[in-house]
Amino acid sequence: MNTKIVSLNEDTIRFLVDGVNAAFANSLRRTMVAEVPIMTVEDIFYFDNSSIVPDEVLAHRIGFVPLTTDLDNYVLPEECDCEAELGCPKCRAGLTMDIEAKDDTVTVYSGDLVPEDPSIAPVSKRIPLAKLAPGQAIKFEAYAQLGQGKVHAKWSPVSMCVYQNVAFVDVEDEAATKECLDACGDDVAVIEGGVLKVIDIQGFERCRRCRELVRHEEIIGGLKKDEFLFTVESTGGLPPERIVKEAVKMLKQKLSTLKGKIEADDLHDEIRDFDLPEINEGKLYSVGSGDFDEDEGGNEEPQGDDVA
Amino acid sequence: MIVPVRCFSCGKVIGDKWEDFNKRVEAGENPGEVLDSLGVTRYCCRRMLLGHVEIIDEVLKFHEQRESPDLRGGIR
Ligand SMILES: [Zn+2]
Ligand SMILES: [Zn+2]
Repeated sequence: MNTKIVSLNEDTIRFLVDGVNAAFANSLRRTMVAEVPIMTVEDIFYFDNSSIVPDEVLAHRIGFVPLTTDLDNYVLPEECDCEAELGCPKCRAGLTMDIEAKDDTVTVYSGDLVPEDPSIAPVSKRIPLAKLAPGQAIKFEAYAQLGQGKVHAKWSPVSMCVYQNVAFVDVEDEAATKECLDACGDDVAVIEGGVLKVIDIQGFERCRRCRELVRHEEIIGGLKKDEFLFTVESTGGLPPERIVKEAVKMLKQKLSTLKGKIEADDLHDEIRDFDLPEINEGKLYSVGSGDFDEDEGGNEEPQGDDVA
Repeated sequence: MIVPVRCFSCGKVIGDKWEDFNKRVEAGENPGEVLDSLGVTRYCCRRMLLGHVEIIDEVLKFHEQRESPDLRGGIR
């Protein structure tokens, strides 16, 4: 397996991976989306909220504000040894807000969140959270925790994480293609030993001259099945290259756990331990305070004391 | 009522770009060009800003005017 970084800036990394199949590429992608943890606010205690944005709506908005994450000094709450409901200094970071509008209307921004630990702070300070009319106030204490995207989307470190195949195409007019490529840049396509390697197909086809030199069908016909271009866009919680590194680390960890279990023949116990959920009288769920009598065909009667 | 913090489809933070976007579009700039310059490239994120109507300022007026002599009678 070989990797090569095509481009990297503060929020996006694009890199090539070759010598792996689509299943591996997808498991890497899914690890980045759903497993790599970042910090976001999970619990909020309001002391005052007289704004027109209700408590739960404001809490939801604050949860979606990405926070810069220090993965080295914090652990996931479920892996922490404190077992406290609100966590300990190892598994949570506090943020507070205390803002009141006096004479003018005030917009409350994510930058008004005051972090307890400066390394866990809002990525962007300009996200409007609420607006306060004169006399209104917001005061709360918030607790941020590490979490994973599979639990809630606010904990996903990426806003885009995709991969696509790279294509190899034979070119007829090498000189003309080369001239066009010089203008488009070598992160779109390169010529390697007389063969055109299209790295970013959409980027390549955005150029009209490139599009005329190489037909779309030729590119689709020349897709290489074991080489991928990954594009990872971070929400800002972690640098994009760190997300990829963490994903690889986590995937390795998971695979070695699985390997250890297979070698120790430890799989059967876990399957035996798996219990089916208790099914209550043939119904998978019950509604509200009482069960409904489904035999009546639409005439739903609550089963109280009088219905025996 | 107030700008969403994230794009509904992909999760990119777009809330912090609204005020800039709104100000520049009201000043007469082309919305598409403003979005390009703000780095909002995907159409899921673009529609978040293009289609947004900020209502909170209208609702806020009821609270801002509460103590004013003009409306006091109405509230009582
Ligand atoms: Zn803890
Ligand atoms: Zn989007």
